[in-house]
Amino acid sequence: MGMQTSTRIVELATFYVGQALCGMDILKVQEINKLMDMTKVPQAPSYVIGILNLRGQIVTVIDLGKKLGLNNDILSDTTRNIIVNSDNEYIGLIVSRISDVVEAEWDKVEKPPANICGVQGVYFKGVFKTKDRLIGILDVDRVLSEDS
Amino acid sequence: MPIQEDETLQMYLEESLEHLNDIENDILAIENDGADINEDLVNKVYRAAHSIKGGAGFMGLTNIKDLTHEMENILGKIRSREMIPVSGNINPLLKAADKLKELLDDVLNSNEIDIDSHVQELQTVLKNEIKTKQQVSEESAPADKQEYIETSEPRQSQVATGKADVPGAQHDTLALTFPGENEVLNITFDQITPYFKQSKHIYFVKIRINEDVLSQEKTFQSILEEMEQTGSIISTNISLPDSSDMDAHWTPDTRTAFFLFCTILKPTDISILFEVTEDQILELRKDHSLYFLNGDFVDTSNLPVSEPAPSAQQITQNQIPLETNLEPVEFEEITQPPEMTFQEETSPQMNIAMTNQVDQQTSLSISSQDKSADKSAGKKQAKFEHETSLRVHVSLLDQLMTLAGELVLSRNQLLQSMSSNDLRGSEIAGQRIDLITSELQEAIMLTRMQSIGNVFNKFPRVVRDMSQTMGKKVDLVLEGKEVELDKTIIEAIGDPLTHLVRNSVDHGIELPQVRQKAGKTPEGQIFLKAYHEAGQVNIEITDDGKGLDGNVLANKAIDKGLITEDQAKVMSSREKINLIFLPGFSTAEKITDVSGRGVGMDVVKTNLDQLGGIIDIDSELGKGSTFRIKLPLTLAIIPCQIILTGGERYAIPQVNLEELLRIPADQVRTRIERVGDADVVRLRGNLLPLIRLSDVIGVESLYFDIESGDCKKNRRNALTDRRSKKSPMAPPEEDLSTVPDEPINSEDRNTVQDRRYHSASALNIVVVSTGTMKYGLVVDDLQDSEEIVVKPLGRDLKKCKGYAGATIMGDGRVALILDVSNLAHMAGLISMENTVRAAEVAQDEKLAVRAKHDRQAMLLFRSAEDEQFSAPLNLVERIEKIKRSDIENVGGKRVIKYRGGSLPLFSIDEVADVKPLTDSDNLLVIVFKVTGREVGLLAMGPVDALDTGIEIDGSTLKQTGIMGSTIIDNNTTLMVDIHEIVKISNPQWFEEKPEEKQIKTETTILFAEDSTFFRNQVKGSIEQEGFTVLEAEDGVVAWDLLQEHADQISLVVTDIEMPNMDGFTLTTKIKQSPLFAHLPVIALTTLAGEEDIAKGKNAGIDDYQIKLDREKLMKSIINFLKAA
Repeated sequence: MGMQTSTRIVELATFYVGQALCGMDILKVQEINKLMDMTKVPQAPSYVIGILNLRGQIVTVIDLGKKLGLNNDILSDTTRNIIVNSDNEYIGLIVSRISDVVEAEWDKVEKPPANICGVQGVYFKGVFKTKDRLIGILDVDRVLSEDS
Repeated sequence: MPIQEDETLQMYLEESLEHLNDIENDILAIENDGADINEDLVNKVYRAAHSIKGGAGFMGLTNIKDLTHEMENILGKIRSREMIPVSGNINPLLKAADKLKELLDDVLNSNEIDIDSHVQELQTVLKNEIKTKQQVSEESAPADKQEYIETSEPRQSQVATGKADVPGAQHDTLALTFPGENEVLNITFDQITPYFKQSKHIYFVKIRINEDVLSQEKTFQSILEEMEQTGSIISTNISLPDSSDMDAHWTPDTRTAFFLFCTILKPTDISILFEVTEDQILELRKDHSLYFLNGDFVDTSNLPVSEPAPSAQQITQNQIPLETNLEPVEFEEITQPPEMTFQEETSPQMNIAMTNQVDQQTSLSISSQDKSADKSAGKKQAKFEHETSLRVHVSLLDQLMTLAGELVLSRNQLLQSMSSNDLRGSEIAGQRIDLITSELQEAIMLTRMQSIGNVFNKFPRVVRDMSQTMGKKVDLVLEGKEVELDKTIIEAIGDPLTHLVRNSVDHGIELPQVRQKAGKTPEGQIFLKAYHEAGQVNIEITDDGKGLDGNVLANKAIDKGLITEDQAKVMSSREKINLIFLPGFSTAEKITDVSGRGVGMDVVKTNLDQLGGIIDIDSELGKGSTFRIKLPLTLAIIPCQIILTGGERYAIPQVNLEELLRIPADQVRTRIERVGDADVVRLRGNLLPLIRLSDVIGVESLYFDIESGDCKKNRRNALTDRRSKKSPMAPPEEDLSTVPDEPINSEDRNTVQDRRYHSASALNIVVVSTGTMKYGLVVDDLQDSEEIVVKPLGRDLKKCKGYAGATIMGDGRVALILDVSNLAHMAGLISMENTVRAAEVAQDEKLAVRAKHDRQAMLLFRSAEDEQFSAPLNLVERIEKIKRSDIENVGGKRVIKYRGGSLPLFSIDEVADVKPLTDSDNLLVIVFKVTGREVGLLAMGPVDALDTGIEIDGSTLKQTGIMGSTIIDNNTTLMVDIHEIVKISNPQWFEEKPEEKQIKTETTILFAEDSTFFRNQVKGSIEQEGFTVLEAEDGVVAWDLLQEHADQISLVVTDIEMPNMDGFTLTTKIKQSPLFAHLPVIALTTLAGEEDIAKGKNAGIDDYQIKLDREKLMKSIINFLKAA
């Protein structure tokens, strides 16, 4: 919705997938957890790490790096599981590290280039520049709907 | 308020659909009754139709209203016995009911659906009937009836009570006055006759502006609105302004307003509409006179006579078209204004039907009408999605409420004890919560339960319609309509069941003449039965039609390239019949509109698979077929077996579970074979294909190493490989099983301490069935069986076909639920392929079994450490692990709480002189069923099941409760006589009915059996029941005995496998002899194979029983004797 709506300010939860700094609308985020004990699903697509029980809900946990085709270190202390709600389903996204919450004005968000750090541009809603960094704003629903 | 409007419509729909559900079967019943009508039933249908019509009127659903109106007319005729219900006039009614259902299903568009053909059909029925009637009545008594029939030409003579007829007027007119009032309302007959024809009621209403309107804080406009929604104003004394000029507070300038108002509301309901005193409303009846609502005639003799010509401003004779007075009512998509003027070609004759209206329960609430006027403006829904709702009994709700209350209390208790560190208290509260949760679960499940009658009830119609079009005669019997199933299952099972019932009529039942030629009754029978068994619902569809011909099916499958000829050759008849479930298989010789569209049974099977159900066919050529469906009670919570593979837990639904099999390490080599590239296990003489779960889902199989205490990778490449520490790196591609004694490895094995006897080396097999196919799933470990809650998997996992969902285990972790039929496909185990291989081996196997005569499947167990016992496996219901502390001593008996009841317990040493039951804390209870009751035999492990063909010694160690002995694995094993043990402990269970005793003492039974042990055993048990037994060692002796004692013997029990003359030959001889053909023959076997049973049936064997199942044998004997 509304990239064209001027002066709309969106809070972005930012995180690293491998070396790439990404962000997503913080309202998409249900919660952020440390890695929990997961049940492996044999024969699942390679990007699915497993499933876990989040207070009675079955959550599919996805290696976001693998899904995007990036190198993602998912076994360090900083690894986090971002639970998002996409299409009425909870999905956990494993990221290398969590970063700050950044306020972004939509009219300063630029259209994504065809390729960001090796990831196809279609997965991004846009790119937001801060003083020193470049944040790729992920289109979470798009990422999760694609079978890649 | 659009929501309320939706609610009203919703209520109407629910009620109407409910009415409609009953209508169909009731109409069929009416048809069956024929001329001898059941008035209550007709009235019921009539009322139902009327209620639907009434509501439709309010809602502005003209099509529904018109259709029900026509139906009502015919029903009225039937009720007044003017029309005899035959299929000619019932058919249009049924069709109309179907259409009505369609209209109600798409209620918002219902007015646009074409119903002309139905209306016309109904009218034709009516007209034809009237014509014949008229002819009759003209001949006999032409006077009376004609009056109404011809009301379209009103007769002056009829208007006797009309106050002041204007003489010479072109139309007959009527002047109406209220008693005690001066104002006159003049109307012409033309104005009112049409309404009478539509069987509406016409009321003359007086409304006092001050008293009835203003002081009640109502507006005049609201009264007008209400009137317009429920009917139409024929005439009034006030001049109504144009709707555009009319503001909300407009009131007429007279003191009193009179209306002539027509509506479908009955006199009993009309006063609710106007909220005025009853004497302010009069009814204008067909005789053109006024009546009070209580039915009294209005005596007009002392009323002031008014002017024949009324003053112009007081009376407007115009019928007031509603839409000009008010904003049009914007009920969605209703093109008709809600004044409800009937536009159909109402035939004048219809009045006859309407003259005797029933006192129907018009469940129309007046208060709801103004809601329908509220604008649900604009949004044009394509379809009115009517939300589903369930009816729950209040007592059940109360129960839920109580449980919820208890839950809260227990929670408080728990929180309190937790905060005060009261461990004991927490424990108690925890137990309470456990208890309440189960009760709550059960109660909530109950709310979802619906009777299968909801599905069954539509079949009488289906069968009737089909059999009529096909010229067949079919009698449908329904049984077990009250059996309840979860709502979701009820909804999903409708289609598959309909398909099966249609199939039975279409393919199963033959044409009457064909049936008669085959010596059957011309009426075919279809028997639909539902019943509970073992926590599942079973549905059986049985027909006595032509049955399925396995060979025809096989040929067809070959023609269609579904199987090869070679495959067909080795198939059993049952497998051939099951070919019908293959996709793309349809047997109809010609394509009818009912079946034969190429999609058929495979769809049924797929649908049932999705529900976790199982379907099975039994069919005998020429005699009929039975389709058996097993369904779980509910889908949400299912009992599952938990298994472990690759370090993860998986759940296998109990529905699919046949049995658990553990093959000890030292038997793996002998019992598991490789056929081609598949493993098979020998299970009670049959070969069962095996699938390794770890292979199918691609995980590493792990096993628990007792020595090191951790899990290790299982390096077996084939199931028959042994694990050996010294040869861990055996090249993986090397298939050790095919060359079992490969020198390199065997040397290692011999030197290493043999680990084959470690429990960890045993194979754990879960025998699962998917309806047509049974296979063994090899898993790493078996765990408990648990009730689990099914949760769906996310979209990323939809492609993983091996799982049916996931569940959350007690420790909070997630476990996957396996889909056993998809696993089989993934493993490439397609029923047919497997059949070929298995059948080849099975044939040899069968021969081997035949050779080893009298095999018996036995359960081995112990009671004391060093005494081995056995009992026939087919008598065992279940085995449970218990703690000694669970046993209670009540009333001098030992019992244990078990599945909500008490299970009586016995031990062998109570009856027989054997060593006392071991003093261990962990005991086993082997549950048997004796005289319909479950009893538990206390025992201890290890238990094992095996097929024994070893000679049984029936004398040396025989004693009370022990029927004999045999040697198994070098151990003397005592065979327990469960029946006798229970009989001695509980003689009162065996009290017999006097008439049975009578039968028994007078009966001599011929019993042929070659094995001495079984002969003595069975003879003993038959004699114990009080029969006289003549015994024979083989068929020849039996035949001689039969000749000798021809007049004494009333029943023959025979073994099948006997020297000199076998049971088949003996039976054939008996059945072919005119002297003995009437004797019932019961065959005794140890294991009855399909083919044997078929062969036996051909020979004339009446029943098959298993040798050591004494109870069933007795039951069968008594049944046959009673029948004779």
